[in-house]
Amino acid sequence: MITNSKDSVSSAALQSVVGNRFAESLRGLRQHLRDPQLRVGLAVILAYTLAALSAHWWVHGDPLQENLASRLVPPSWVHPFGTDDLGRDLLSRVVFGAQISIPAALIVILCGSTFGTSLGAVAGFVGGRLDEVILRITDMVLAFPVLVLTIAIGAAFGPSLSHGVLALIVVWWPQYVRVCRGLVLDHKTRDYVAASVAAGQRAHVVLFRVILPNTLPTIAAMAAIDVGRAILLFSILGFVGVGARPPAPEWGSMVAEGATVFDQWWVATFPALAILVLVFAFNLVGDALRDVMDPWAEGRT
Amino acid sequence: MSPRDTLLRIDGLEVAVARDPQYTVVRGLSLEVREGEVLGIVGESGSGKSVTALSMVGLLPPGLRVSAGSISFKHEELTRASAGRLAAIRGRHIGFVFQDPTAALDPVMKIGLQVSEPLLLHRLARRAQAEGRAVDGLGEVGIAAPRESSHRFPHEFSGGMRQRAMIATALIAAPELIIADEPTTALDVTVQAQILDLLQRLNRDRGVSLILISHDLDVVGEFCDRIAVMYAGRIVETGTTRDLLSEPQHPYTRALLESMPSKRIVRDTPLQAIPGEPPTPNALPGGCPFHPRCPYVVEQCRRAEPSLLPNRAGIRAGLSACWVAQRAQGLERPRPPLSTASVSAGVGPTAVRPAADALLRVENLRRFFRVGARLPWQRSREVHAVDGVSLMLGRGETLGIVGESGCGKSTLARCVLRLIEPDEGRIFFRGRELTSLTGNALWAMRRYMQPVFQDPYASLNPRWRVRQIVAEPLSAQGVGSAVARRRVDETLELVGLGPSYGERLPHQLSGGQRQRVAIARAIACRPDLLVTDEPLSSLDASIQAQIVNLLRDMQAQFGLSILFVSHDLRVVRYLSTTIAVMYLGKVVEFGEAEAVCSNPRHPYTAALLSSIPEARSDHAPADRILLRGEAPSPMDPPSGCRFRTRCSFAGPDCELREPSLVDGPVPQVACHYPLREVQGLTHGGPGRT
Repeated sequence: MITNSKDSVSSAALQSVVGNRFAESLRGLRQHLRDPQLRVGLAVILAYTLAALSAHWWVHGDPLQENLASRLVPPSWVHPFGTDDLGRDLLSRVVFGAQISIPAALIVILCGSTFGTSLGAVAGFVGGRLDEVILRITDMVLAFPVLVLTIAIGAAFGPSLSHGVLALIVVWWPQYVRVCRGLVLDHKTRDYVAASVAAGQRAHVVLFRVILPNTLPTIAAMAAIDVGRAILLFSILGFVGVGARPPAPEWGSMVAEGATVFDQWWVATFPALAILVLVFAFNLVGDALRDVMDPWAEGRT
Repeated sequence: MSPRDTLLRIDGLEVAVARDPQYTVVRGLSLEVREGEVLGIVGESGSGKSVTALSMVGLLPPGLRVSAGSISFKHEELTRASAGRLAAIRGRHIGFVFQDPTAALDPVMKIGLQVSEPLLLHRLARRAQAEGRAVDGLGEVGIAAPRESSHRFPHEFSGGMRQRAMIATALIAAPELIIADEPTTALDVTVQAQILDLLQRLNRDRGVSLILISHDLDVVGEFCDRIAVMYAGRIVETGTTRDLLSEPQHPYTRALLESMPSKRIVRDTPLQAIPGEPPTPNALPGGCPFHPRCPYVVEQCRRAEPSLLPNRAGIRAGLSACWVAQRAQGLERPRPPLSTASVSAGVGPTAVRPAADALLRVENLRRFFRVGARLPWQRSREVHAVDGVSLMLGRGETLGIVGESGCGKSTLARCVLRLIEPDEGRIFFRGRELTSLTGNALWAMRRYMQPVFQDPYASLNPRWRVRQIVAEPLSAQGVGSAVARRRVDETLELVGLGPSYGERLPHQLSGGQRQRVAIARAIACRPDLLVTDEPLSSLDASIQAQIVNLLRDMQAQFGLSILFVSHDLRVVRYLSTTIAVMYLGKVVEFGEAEAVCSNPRHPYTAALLSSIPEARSDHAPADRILLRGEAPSPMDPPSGCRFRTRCSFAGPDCELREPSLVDGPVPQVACHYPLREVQGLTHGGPGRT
């Protein structure tokens, strides 16, 4: 009931000035987009996404269509990225590969960061014994070597994309617990939180509506960089053969295939470049977000 | 005395942002410092006083540069000097003392080496010699056991000792000029008094010239020979301290003098607050930059900026930049009321009421913190932040809690608000025992007591709009949105902002406006008690008076009781009905404000009172009680009376028995040898002749 009434206060305020606020947030967005790092990073990610989504319409050839007559054809007008040793069009495989890597990485980070952030927030806010327990479990998971664990999971349940995703989620949340707990501990002692407590806000409101929104910029920046890292890890899993199963056009496995036909440089190069550019773009965005989204930095120059 | 030579002369100095030459921070500033002279520069934040100081030694922050004018030091032009030449002058001929000694000292370098650094850099002494001179220097600035101290690191020093070390560093190469930029702002008031006394002594004994920069006219007025008042990047008035204080010509100087409570201002008259805010350098109003805030404004002020001219004939010497003051009749027009909002009703001091009437009663409150024990085998220690405090606050009254940092006053305030839990003791509020309340009972009680914190940058949720911030106590208490909305508009109006501010975000507001929002939030649910923790300390001088007046207005209008926590005895004395003086977690004196201030009975209260800086036109040597050293760590308080280590009246009992607050006729005092009334500072203790 309490939260409801607060909702209606803010929604009433929202209605009265919705145009005003919309204009203001647009202005804010434009201001942020002036940052060249953010611009370049977002443009690259957008390009990848659009290319992947519209692949059916513009890419010639099925990524799985084998054509033994045209094996290992170097880049040409017909096959801009060339073909692999089963005669599959590499451009098509690279573009469709984005349909695998990007959603998989997003799912891992979304699940991992949500779980980790909530757990860390509670640990930091409640403190005491609960904090200790959560931290020790976190430390335990952190102590696992990420790659070995995912390979083990992949090996145990059989290599597949979904097992890879699951394995990464299992190892990904602990760092969010650490970071979010630290942030909550810091914000918990700030005066604006004390004011909310003194106003009579319930504990869950203080944590989830007062403190947490103020920690999100840092979390978001971290998550953006992590999407890149997850894509990288997926490729590694694919490379060692415990990720997506062939013949799925997964970038890592494509690089692995390319490594066996070393003289045909294009087979490994194009998927590797796809990984490199996309990971770099996510890093740029993450970096820029950290600078741009900190409300404590605004207006204090 | 023969006219002294000019040591430093600044002529038409302009400092601008390098990328945007139109954006000037210092606009045509001229001043001079003669040998052995003390010049005070006063101004609010953004007035350009620190930038002026930094430009003298070529230490302007990146992005700023001197765009016009000259700075000549001993007839040498500094604006065109090479970086090497400036480095040779810094430390050798001009010493610099910064505001925050903690940030200015190198944490991994021993104090002795740091102090001797200028000698080594300028090749004035060899290493072994330099060390000896550093020890002498530390002794000279009053650091006990200088030889041992010189082998310590900065973190082993207290704040006051660090500032002394900074001064020793500035002095070691015997420079002709020392620039001290807000040298006491980060220090406690008793330590501030010690440092000011030290600077004054150095000037008198060694004849070193001094530029003392401060936002506090009282600090500067203490012992400066001349004062320059800066506003919006220019000097608006300058003159000898005596003339400037007794006959201020510029309306801004006059307003500064009248806007802050001091020994000069009587209680129960509203402060003459300067309306508005100081302008930012990139958005100066046209004409005289002060005109939007000036009560004397005439048409001419809006059109053109007055230049700094000698005061008109018949008035004391000095310069001022004001069209009205330069006219034949000067600032004669009777002063119009500056702040219309502050028609305070009488909230005069009333006698301390019997306990039955008390809104808030604190009984024997204790709060410990555990520190130490970072490793399992270390023993943790208890710090007694609040150690047995009993207080009382009546309805509609103000209880001021004064003390230096670390005395437990903020902890006490937070215990009352139930933001931290006391370990022992009871708090009665509105007739109910607060410490045992939990859950819904506590939640329901919260609407009757609201906080206002020190730093309005930190106390407002940066993601919320003003409307949501002010509505928070209402929505948290389940007030319906329509009612809440009306109440928020009304409250914003009351604090002088108006409903149009509701849609702003905190970072779009100035410091003063933010503090108004914080007050609006606190009074939105019409509480009985306001707990304010240093609500003025992060505000500019001219804004402080506005906030003080606002608090008084709100108190008068809603019959609020205020628990006012502050280190500034000037404001506490002005606002409070009763005062509690705290020292190391204990109340040492508690009584009616006027009685405590005019007739302090505890030696610590007396020392605090006499530490208050005061701009005096006569600038005779201050007749004040300087406390020895600084407050000991609350981790191990001295045995017996905690104040005895700094008390000049301490007798043998003080070490053995702890004095308790005598529960009798007010003021209550916790001292074995309380000061006698009337005689004030003379004493009835042992060993007195």
